[in-house]
Amino acid sequence: MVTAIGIDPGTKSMDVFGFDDETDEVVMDLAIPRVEVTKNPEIVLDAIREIDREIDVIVGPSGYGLPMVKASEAADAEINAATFITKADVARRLNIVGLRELMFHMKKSNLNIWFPPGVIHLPTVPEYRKINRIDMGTADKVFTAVSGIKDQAEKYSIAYAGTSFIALEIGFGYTAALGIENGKIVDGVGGTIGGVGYMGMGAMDGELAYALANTIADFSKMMLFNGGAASISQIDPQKVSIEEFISLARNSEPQVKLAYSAMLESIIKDTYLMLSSVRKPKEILLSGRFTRIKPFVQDVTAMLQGHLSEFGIEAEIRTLTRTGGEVKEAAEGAAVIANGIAGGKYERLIETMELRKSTGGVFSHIYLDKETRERIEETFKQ
Amino acid sequence: MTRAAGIDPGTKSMDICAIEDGEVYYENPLDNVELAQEPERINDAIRETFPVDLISGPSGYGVEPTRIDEVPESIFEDWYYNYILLTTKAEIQKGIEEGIFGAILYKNMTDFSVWMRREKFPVMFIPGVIQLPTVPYYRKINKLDMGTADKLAVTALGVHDQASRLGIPYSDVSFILVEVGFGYNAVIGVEGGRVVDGIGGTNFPGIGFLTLSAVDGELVQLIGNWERKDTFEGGVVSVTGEMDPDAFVKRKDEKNEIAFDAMMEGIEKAVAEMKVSVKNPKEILLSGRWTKLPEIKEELITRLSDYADVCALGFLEGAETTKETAQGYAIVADGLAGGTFKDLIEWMQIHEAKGTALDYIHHPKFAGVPQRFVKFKE
Repeated sequence: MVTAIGIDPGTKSMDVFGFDDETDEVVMDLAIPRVEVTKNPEIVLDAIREIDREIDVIVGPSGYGLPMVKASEAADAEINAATFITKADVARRLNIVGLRELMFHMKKSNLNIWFPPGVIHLPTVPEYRKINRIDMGTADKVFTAVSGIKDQAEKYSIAYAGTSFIALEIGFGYTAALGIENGKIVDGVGGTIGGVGYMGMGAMDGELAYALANTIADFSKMMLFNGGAASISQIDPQKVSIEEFISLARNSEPQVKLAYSAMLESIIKDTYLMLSSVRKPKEILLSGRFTRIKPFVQDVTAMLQGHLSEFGIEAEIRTLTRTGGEVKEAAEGAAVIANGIAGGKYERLIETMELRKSTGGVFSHIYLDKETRERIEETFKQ
Repeated sequence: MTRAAGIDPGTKSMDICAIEDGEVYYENPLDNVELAQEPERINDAIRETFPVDLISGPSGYGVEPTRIDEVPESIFEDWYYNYILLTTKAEIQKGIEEGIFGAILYKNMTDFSVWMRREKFPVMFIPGVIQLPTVPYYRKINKLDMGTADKLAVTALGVHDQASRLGIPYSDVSFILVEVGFGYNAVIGVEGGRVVDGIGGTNFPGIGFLTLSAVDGELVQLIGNWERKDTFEGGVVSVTGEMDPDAFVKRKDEKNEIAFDAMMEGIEKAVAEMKVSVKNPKEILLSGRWTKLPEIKEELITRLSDYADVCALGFLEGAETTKETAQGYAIVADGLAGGTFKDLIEWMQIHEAKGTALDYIHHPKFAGVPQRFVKFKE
């Protein structure tokens, strides 16, 4: 019997999910507002200790990820790189600062916590797909892929190695897409290299990067949370709910409709980007905060079906199955990894995905001049 | 009778192509390395096309059709740097001091245009994809480069090519154009004979020979001081250190292999993405210097045949030595001058293009950028 916990650091909430693999009992199902975690990161560990139960393994949040490692053995430089941020942004106390502090608390704790990899660390993604990429899917996107593999294998009673799908995670911050074939992640489009997300603008036109970097003195990470559907709509995403956003778009409020069209088409285009890596996906699996809203799922499904059928692809489109009530699918995926690490019933799943063979660093695939690469490594490992 | 000329400022060469009633009568591809040493050679070359009714000037990122004399001479140089090249004179001067070849090219293009303005030549600057009314607004959001002016020009050649080859009206033309150039790649979508979407070089989902293409936002934040030259790096040359295209395509070592796969898969991803906007293209048309290399051509045919029939873009009648983009520039000039290609240009609504490449950014931090530039038009 293994009791495992996984933690998913979403933009709005940090989700903690735990289960017992013998009874399938859910032992934790908790969404902690991200602002609270940023104020006091230790509340996450306090919440886990409160359940007063022996936990075999916890998979913690790890930002951009690092080669799978026990938290107590992670180097400070690795944690810093996995949560890289400028000094000015540290002073702004962005959410990622709280995440970094939580990771250091985890390193020092007496709990059996592990830090998982991001997509870019995986040996199952060919090097040529990693060129000049940082975010091919953060560690929490790997969690989503794990949930998807488990879900598809169980639904169709097939081996993990027989699963194939494109995972679309449509979150509050970003949209990401992952390609899974033979139970392995083979490609990924992270939030900052895909299309228009809700908060984030996705990949940046190289010319826009140049224009922005030479106009503002301080290129904050907050820049990456801007220019998306919320900015285009000219709404305040902290005041207008995503349900209202969708409703306004469907009621043809012009600026919101424009933003919604851009966001929806980006989702389809991200899917198509994955089709060159996973040519015949069995399914398209939807997850993330937006996919809890029925009209949104209806819109995405209708668009995807229309496009894919014309392309001759007969993949089923559905939302990922969720066990938890409060948390998102990714937290369940994290808990599945924790179970696998502990030698539980999902050990074979994480072996199929080759998560233990993850290697390299977040900055290992930048093919710019040597001086720039060294400057990056030096700046952000501190 | 209409005589029109196009000047295509490529990364490797500046090509001049001139046509009379739809047929090429003058071609001159000028090597950029040689031009950097003797810039006045292009002045002589353009005079050799005369008499001419209209010239499509080197239009960079593109602007709505703009006659050269619409821009006051007093601000013309800055205007050209700002709207055609999306930069400033100071930045280019800095680049020249640092010995950046691209900066020298930009200065030469500007000086040449300033000279044409002074000589009162009949020059028109032409649009890129983003200024077209046929591309829905939502596809333009946060883009600057959806296909520069030369990419739109070569697409016009593509519409002409498919319509005449298949004997169909423009309204039945549909294709995805794949342009693989020395610096950048681009993919343009055409449906009903009109451009409906475009993925420009700095938005491309895979590396080009020189450029890293679209940028991971995280990488920009990581580097911080992102410079103009950074958009020309991070591609095949940066991965392999190999400047010789032939050696690169032979894939003689692991790095070449990785770069080759990255570039080819990037093109496939762009075509796949474009299938969202052009669901059933009749063809995929290959254009550009790289697609003439057998290794590249064969690889692209293998990869792209699942998406539609793949074939090479045809040349204009009489063209032999200039790139397809230069031929396209000449077609646009001819059409805007009311010549043989008037119907084509009007069908594609190129004459109705509006604004500049700077008009569709919705990032709040972008507000300061246009303020650094001179006024586009009074």
